[in-house]
Amino acid sequence: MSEAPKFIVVDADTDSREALYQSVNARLLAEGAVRDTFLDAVSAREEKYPTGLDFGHCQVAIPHIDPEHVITPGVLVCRNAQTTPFCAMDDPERELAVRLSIWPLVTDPQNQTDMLGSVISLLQDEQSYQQLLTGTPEELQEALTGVLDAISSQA
Amino acid sequence: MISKKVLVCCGTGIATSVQVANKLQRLLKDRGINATMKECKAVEVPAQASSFKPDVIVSTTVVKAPSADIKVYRGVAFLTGVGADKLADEIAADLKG
Repeated sequence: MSEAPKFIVVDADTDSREALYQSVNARLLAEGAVRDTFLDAVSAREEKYPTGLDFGHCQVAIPHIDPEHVITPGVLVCRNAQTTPFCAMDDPERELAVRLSIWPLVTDPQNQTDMLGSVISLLQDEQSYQQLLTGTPEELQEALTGVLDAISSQA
Repeated sequence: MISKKVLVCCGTGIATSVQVANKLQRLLKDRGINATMKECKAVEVPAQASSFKPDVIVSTTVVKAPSADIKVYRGVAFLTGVGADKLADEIAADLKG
């Protein structure tokens, strides 16, 4: 039986990536969604394989980690009042100015691909991006229905 | 239709490379190429280059070309959609060349 995926919104106000990791980690730990290995794992992975993507109309990071650090499936959307530098996935020398970061929490590796596909098609659409950045948590949850479905569906 | 082999790699070889492989396979098909795709982790590229023997490599992360005769393309365009058609044209031309 699959548990309904968690949906979490964090509104941050920070100019450093480390501070952003910490606010996201604190919230996920409080929700019981991740293990205490999450913070180290996610920051180490981001340094090695950055997840910043430039969609032209927006620059977004999708930090993700292996299922072993995740307790419950879900998605965390972090909206930052300031921009934080994240490195581009295909060019670690290039810094992107990121306000919106999407943190998929996947427990079943089989769901990774559909999840990512849904996140990406959402971000390719400028209106959806704006809605994610400014919408109410209810609007966000609705916009992310496809993503949440992908994460909860059983292989 | 000509048949070619494309190795797609990303950091962990799971979601990102599969996403890129699916998208690129469709775009190559539109350009008359029947591509066999294989996904792998960035660290597996040298081993896959000798066993799978790809015609080209497409990567979303930085990888070194395993040999001078296999060209490596950056494939983030197939995630963001920005410049995806142009890059697919380039890869198709290379595969047909």
